[in-house]
Amino acid sequence: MESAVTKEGEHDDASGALAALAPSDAVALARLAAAGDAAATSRLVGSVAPRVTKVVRAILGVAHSDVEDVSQQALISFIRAIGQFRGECEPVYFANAIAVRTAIAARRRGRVEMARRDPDADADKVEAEACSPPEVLASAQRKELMRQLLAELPAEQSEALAMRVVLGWSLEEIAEHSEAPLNTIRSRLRLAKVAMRRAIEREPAVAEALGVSL
Amino acid sequence: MTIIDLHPEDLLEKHALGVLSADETARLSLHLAHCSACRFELLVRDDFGQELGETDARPSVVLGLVQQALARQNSSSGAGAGVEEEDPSSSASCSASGSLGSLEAVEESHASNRDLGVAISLHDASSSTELRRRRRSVRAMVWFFAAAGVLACGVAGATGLTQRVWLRVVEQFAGASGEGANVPPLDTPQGERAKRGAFARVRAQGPAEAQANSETAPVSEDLDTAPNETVSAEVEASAEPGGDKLQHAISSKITAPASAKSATREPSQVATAEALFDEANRARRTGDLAVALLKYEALERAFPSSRQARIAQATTAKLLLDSGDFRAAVARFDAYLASGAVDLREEAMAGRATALERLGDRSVETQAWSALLQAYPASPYAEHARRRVASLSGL
Repeated sequence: MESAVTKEGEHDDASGALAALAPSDAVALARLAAAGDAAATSRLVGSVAPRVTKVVRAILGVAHSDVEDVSQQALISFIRAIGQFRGECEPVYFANAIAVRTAIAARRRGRVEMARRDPDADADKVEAEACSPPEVLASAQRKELMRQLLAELPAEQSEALAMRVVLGWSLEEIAEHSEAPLNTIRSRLRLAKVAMRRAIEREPAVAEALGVSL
Repeated sequence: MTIIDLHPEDLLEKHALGVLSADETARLSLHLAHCSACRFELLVRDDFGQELGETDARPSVVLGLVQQALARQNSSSGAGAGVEEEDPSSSASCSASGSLGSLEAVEESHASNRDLGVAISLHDASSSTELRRRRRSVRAMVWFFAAAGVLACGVAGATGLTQRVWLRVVEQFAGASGEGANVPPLDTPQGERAKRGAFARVRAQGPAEAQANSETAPVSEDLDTAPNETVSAEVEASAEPGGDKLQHAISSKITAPASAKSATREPSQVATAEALFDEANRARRTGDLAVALLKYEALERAFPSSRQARIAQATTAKLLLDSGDFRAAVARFDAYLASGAVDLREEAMAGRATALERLGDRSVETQAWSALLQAYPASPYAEHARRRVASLSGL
């Protein structure tokens, strides 16, 4: 793609800058992409795509039939939003935040359709239950409970919780990417945990199996 | 708001980074002793941390299609980031293509991946840093939970709670320290989707013909090399019309009735039922529904009281639903629900209602959706169920 762009004589300046770019300067790559450089955009997408796919898969679940489609949507949203990237963090973090939002939205939309369309999902889930070591099974069940919770919570709480639990971000990082005050994030997480406790208490036997006694 | 609604997020964060002081550890332990939500959060954070810390997924198809979208946009507008101009229908078409996963797209994405090596290596570096952070967190968590466990036992004793469950938490974390980082990933289903034609054929041909045809299928090679060849052969024979004796022979090997819990069964039984289940799932994933169906049914006959047999029953019901054999699907779902099994009860109720919906049996369908709503009001199927009930009631 880079050579094609050069042949067309477009973005010569930007491509030159890209060639001179230090390998570690992902932020500069993102800035070039934001400035409209096609080769930089292509490289940037390539750099964040593996992570975006993993985040989407973590939120939707491994058996979800739309992982690839949703990852693709997230990457397209990332490209659309790259103009707003301020360069205050690594682009992959920016992409992760977009992946979380896209995946949560997809999970909400597809709560019914997911199970109705994918005939493999249930048996695969249960196969994991039937054949996996107990700790793997417990881990899978915990993650599934968390995914269900993410689909049920209000969007802001769900996003904050996903960034906290799935991405392992700090409160400050969540606040920065959500463009919300720190105390608002604390409040969202507190409310999300109220719902989390209810979800756990709803199924005491499951809670015990998950290793989370009441 | 109660005291347990005030979660020490800062301490949880320090714990994740492994920088808690002794005093902070004690404070967090005290909170965890009372707060199931925070305990759950710590566990599930580690679960997701391990999942995301694994080798990055190869999004070849996804990446290829996005690159294609970029290329298309570039060729039409000449602007690199011009995808901003792309309308939603373009992305929808990309999604549709993504499902098809054309060979060209994969090949192009591989080429793109080569071009993108520098940026990907950048990403890998940041991933490694995160992975190291996660591992440090896991190590810290083991020590932390050991301390929390001791403290919690004291709290539990004082408050009348049993110590048993707490010890389990501690034991689980002790186990996670050694193996958690190397826990094998759950199997990711990458097999083809149900091939209705093949499924219809096996039902039209009958089990014997289907079995004969299936011998050339790839899954058979897999099964031939599987560790318990004897079981495979016995089960395949039992699926034939004259296989009842052999099935009886298999059943007679089981001296004790199979329990619903694997842990309480004889090891040989566990291996056999699970191996059959595994083989059937493998066949289903490779798209060989004929073999899958036979093996699920053989499993049900050979180990009728096993948990796997119940799951097989629900799975075949779902395959029947997917293949368009709605009446057979309803019958299988009915059988599963009548068995009292709970693993897939919610899904089976939804599947049964869906099959009835397709059959156009409105009164029974209404009852089925209503029963689902009554049993699982927060079900993912609830919204659809309510819509259907409202729609059918208005007729």
